[in-house]
Amino acid sequence: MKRFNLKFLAAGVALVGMASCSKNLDKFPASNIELSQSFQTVKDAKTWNNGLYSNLKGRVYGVYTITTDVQGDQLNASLDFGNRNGAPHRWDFTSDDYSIRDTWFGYYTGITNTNIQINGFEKITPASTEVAELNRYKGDAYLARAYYYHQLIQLWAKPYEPATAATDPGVPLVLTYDINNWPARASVKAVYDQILSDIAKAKDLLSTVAGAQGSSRFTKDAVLALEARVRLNMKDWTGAKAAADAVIATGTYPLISSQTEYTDYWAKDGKKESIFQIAASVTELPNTNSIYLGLIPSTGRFTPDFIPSQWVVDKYDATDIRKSAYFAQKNLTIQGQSYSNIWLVNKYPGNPALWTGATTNYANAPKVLRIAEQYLISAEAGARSGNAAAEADALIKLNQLRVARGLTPLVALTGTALFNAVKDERFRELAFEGFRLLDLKRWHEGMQRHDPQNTAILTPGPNYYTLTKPADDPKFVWGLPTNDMTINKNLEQNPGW
Amino acid sequence: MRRILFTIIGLLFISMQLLAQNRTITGKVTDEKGAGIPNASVTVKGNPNIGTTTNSEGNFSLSVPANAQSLLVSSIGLGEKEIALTSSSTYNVTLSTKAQDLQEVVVVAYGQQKKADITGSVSTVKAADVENRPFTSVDKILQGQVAGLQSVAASGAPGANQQIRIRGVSSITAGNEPLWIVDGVAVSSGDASRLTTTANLLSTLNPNDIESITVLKDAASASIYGSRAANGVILVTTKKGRAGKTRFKFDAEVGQSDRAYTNDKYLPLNAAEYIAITREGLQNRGDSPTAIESTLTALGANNGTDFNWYDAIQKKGRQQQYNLSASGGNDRTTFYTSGGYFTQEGAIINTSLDRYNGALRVTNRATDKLNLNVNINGGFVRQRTPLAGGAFGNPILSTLFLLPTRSAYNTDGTYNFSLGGLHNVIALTDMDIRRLKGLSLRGSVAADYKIIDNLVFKTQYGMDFNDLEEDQYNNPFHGDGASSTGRAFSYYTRLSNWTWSNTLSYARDLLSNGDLKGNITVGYEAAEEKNYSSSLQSQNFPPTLLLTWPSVGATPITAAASQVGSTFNSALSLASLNYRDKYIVSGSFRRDASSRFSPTNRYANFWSLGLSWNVDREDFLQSIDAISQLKLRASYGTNGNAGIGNYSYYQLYGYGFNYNQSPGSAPTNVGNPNLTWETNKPLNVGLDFGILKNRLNLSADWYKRKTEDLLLNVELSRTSGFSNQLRNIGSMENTGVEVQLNAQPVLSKSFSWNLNFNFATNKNKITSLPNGADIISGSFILRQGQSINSFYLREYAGVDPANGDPLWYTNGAGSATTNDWSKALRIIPGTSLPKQFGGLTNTFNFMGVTLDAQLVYSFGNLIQDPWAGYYTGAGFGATFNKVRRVLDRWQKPGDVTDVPKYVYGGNKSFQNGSTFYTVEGDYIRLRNLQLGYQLPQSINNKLKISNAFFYVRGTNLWTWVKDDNLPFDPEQGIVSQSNLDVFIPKTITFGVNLGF
Repeated sequence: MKRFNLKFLAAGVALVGMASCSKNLDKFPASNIELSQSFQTVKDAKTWNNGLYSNLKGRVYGVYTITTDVQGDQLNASLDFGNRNGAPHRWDFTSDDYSIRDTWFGYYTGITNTNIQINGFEKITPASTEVAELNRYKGDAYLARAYYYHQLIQLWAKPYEPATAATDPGVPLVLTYDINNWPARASVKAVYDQILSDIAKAKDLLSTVAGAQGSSRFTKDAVLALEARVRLNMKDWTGAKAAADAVIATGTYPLISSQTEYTDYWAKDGKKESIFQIAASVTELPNTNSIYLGLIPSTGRFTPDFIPSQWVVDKYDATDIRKSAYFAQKNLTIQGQSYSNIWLVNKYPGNPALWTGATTNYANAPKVLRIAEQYLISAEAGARSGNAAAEADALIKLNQLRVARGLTPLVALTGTALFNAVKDERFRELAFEGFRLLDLKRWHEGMQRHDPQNTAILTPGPNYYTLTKPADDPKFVWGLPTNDMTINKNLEQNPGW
Repeated sequence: MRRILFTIIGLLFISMQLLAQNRTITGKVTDEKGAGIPNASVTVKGNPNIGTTTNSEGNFSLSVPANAQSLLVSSIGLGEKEIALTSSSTYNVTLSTKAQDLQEVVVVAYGQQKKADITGSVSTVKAADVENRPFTSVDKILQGQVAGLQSVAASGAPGANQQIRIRGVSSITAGNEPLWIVDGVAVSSGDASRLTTTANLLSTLNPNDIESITVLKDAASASIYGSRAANGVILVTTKKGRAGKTRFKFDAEVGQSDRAYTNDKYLPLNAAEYIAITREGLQNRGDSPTAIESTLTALGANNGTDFNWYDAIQKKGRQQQYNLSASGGNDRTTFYTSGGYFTQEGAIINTSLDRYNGALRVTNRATDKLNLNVNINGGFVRQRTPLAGGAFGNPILSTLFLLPTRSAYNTDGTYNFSLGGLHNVIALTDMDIRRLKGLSLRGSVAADYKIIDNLVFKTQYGMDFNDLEEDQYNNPFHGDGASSTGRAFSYYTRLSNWTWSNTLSYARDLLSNGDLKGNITVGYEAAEEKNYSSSLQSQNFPPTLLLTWPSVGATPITAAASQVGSTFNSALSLASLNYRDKYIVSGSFRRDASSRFSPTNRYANFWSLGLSWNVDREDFLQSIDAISQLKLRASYGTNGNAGIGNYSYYQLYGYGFNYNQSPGSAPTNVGNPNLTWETNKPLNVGLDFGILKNRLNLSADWYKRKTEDLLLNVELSRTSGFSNQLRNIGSMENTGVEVQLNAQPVLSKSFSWNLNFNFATNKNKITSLPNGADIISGSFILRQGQSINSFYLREYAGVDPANGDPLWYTNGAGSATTNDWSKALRIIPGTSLPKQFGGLTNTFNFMGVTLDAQLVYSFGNLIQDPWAGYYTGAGFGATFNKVRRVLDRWQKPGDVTDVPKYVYGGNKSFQNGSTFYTVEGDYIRLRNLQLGYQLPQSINNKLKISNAFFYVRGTNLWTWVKDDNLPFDPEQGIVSQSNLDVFIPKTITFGVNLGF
């Protein structure tokens, strides 16, 4: 009996022992790898770098562009807008608004990606032939981070005022990936300093990457273009002008002056004026600014969500090539009724090369940095610099843009008149690209909607086409998303939210 | 097919005629209550090739050689009895449960167990209660049959998924479906389709191949399945052959189906009614008379059309099934084989399921020590299911939304596509394709070897293979494909599992007088599951309906394939001690490891302990004849829920973030190396009680199961780049009572009445959540102290009689009201889970005529109709049709009603979610009503068949609902939210069962 028991026990032990053979217990997913295994070679860095641009593609246009534009003064809600983007348009949005939440989260996930890359790339030891390639990826990551933080600081903080920037609350500054981090808000100055620091690193790392028209990756020109934009916001007139002028001086990106070429630049994604333009294809579709048309394929008529005000259309001279590139008169069906010849925004009609069906999907390659903005930055920085030579150059830059667009040059403008002329030109040139509300904010001007087109097709009510907001309205500075406010006790909410 | 069958039958008759020297013995096998025992085996002693089985009445007829001495009569669970043959040709045999009751064997985890040894809570369902039902899968048949098992449909589409909850809901994030084990092998269940609205992997399993189903509900019975047992375990055992003459069984059934529940208040308006209410709505909005007429004209006023979309999408669904099986063998080898065909159409257009089945099981006693067993069970289904919910291609939606002023057809008979942007679902039924083809193979090879007496080694390698091909085509002319000029999808999915289990079982007497018996099983099990999928999509199709495959589309959209999977390794052991069948102690232990958890957290132990006391075996009860059974049971233990993502613990970096046609990657999963199993700790106390020779049996259980380490997403600062992280945090508990009652109020030779009642309650309570904070998700809330699946809605207060405005309460006391929806207070009006549910079956038997009626019921839940705002929302969605309930609207000051004034475009956000759109879900349903006639044995003998049974059966013929305002069927899934799904059908079938 004793002998048998031992045998029995041995069999049992053997069976249990089998359970410890556990190599089949390591299962890896088919389309993912573990984060720790992903920074080994420069080839890994390359896929990260592609992922960076893919992320960036998902963080321009769409909600990232539309939300401030509908909040601004140029657009009115149609009767069929279905309350899409209604809350920011009425300015009655709260900090749990999905557009606010998604934009905030979008930029921060983009930042997380750049943070992981910036730290992860340090672990890679490149061969001597790969150093330049890896530097380029590092430079891209720094510049992308600078771009994201600049977007965040423009939306969620007061405009940069040199006197108070060190104490004005900015946004949380997160530079390393750590899910257990509960960051407080850094000052506006600290955030801008970080942006400038990242730009400086990118400038160095991308110094050998030549610019090209329509480049789908960052170049040394893109670094300068972003720097010019950032320094303009910082009221660093000299720095902004220097950076913008440097881009203009490359001569790589001539201004378009032909009507057909300019219309196609927008409709068919030309490249001439683009310092940095997202690569889009049918399999890699970009976000779309699809609130402006609403084509009904079966009738060929349109049911847009948002319609430009008459005064906005009237801001463009008949000779201005932007007028027919940005607007088109269309036949509408609103609430089942027909309306003819209503001006609609036609800046993003959808590039036929990107259509996935018989009719437009409103996909256009996002133009993130374009040369016209650099002319306007140079002109505004010059006009506000208080320096006569710079002011004179500002008028030259402004006129170069005006003439290219089919307008007459302005003469003998200085001071406020010159600044106002630059503002008007900025209004025209950069309409519906997400700049307008942020411009009003940094110019400290109120928001006033007036003179709409046919009111029969617009949503009526005091918060729509007659809405007026003073320059100090707290909602110029967005509220921090409710979710983050609730979960992160270290955050301080903006006033008025 | 039919001709071949008759030929076979004919040949059999001829061969029987040749056995002229035989004599025919007839008789009836009954249990001690006098009820016939179906499927009992009757063989000639010494010659197992000569035998038969009893029919569903317990009758048998057997031609035996003149020299036969005696018969052996046996039935599973009732033991065997030898009957000496005399000159009489009729024998009535009683297999006594009194004597044999404790010897009855039940299929349990990793084997079988005598009923006396069971310490846990186990319910069984026999073949007779599963066979020949007009349901597409076995999980639907379980409804109302097992106390504490809630089986609920969401859709009446043939092949639709069925949700099963055993003893309540125990997880928020992980799975809640029980583990299905078919012949010892864990199989995939649920809906694995990716394009089909709803599908069910168990649709491929033919219920007629099932011998028995055992439901394991507590720790003692289920914890041996360790990390997969938390939601209960359902063991399915398929049919085996039995030694003896080869027996054929042929079952056929035909019938048709119709909508089971209709509420007239939720039928769509006709053209005149729609135009009238719309005119009222426009007037109420303050439109000018000319504007009103212009709007009405655009909506088709007075255009002479009054098309009834509701009638147009309904149809009588056809239902047929045919099953043929053969079984037999000799004392060394037995076999069972079967083939089946099943077809069912739904009660609306574009719904159907066809199934083809085959099964084979062969067992062989190779030596006295070695047994071999091979079985394979295959099924192929073809399914067609329309879209549900808010999709414009949903036929149910279209009946409620499409205007009656717009016909499906133009005057020339062609399809009308001008339907205000909605889809002509009748045209799409012809023009589009939505198709699922599923193939499943389930099977195993097994051997057991008796090393020495009482020591048996068993090895089984089983697999489960499910293949799904889904094809979808949306034509370029109209419907979902129009915007992309036609599109087509081809998706392929393969789920495969294998399980290899090895066990060593040893049983022996521990006391020399036999008073104390013990047995122990130890084992090792390894399992893997893999899910392979590929997806193709293209669009831009030529302008024809003839070319429907993705290869035709000019623009490729999706080309992807991937595989995911997981592995489990386990060591297990089971042991029990039995003292004179009076006191039983059982225990189980399992150590599981799974690839779903990080190496630091990969192993976990699960155990159970069970006790039972067969009081009726005690001397002091032996003398009390009235009490035939009294047993007390208790069990406690732990088990786990591994129903979590395969790679959730990894911090992942995913591909697919491509840029400029180059591969790109980015962080995709925040990961958590500390993730582990949700742990379930069930406590069960039970009582089995039988009196009057078991004419009355009662089984009652009380349970409390606590679930801890619930997987929940914990919010992160979004500045981290992630919104939340899955962690083991949170707990809940379920408590309930289950009662199963069997009674035989009348029992005589010619008439018997059998009654079976089951009753279950369950109460769920969330006991902890991250930081104690509420989690609101859509219409539901998770709140500590409340039940899971609690609705969280603004409380509707009715209509202001003065002006017809909708009102909502602003305080919990139900006094202050507002007409501003956004200012209304959200409350918990109830939950989607029933408080009580169960079934009642009455079976009457009179001279061969049987009447079987099964009622199922479910009480105490709320049902929400989330789409109702469109068709009862006081004018919201004004250009869509409305249902008759809006006719109850407020019209003039002083009107008292609950439907507000009808305003074109909507009245004060009445369409938004509130308690107006929830109703009480209590219902009673006549699930099964069957009237059958058993051909007398004397006629069978003349026809040379062993059994003939004819029946007519109605399913879901009658439904009682508590709430007059219940819009759709009371069965709306576990979440009790109707989703404009295919109607649940009522079915009438005629059938015949033949044995020969």
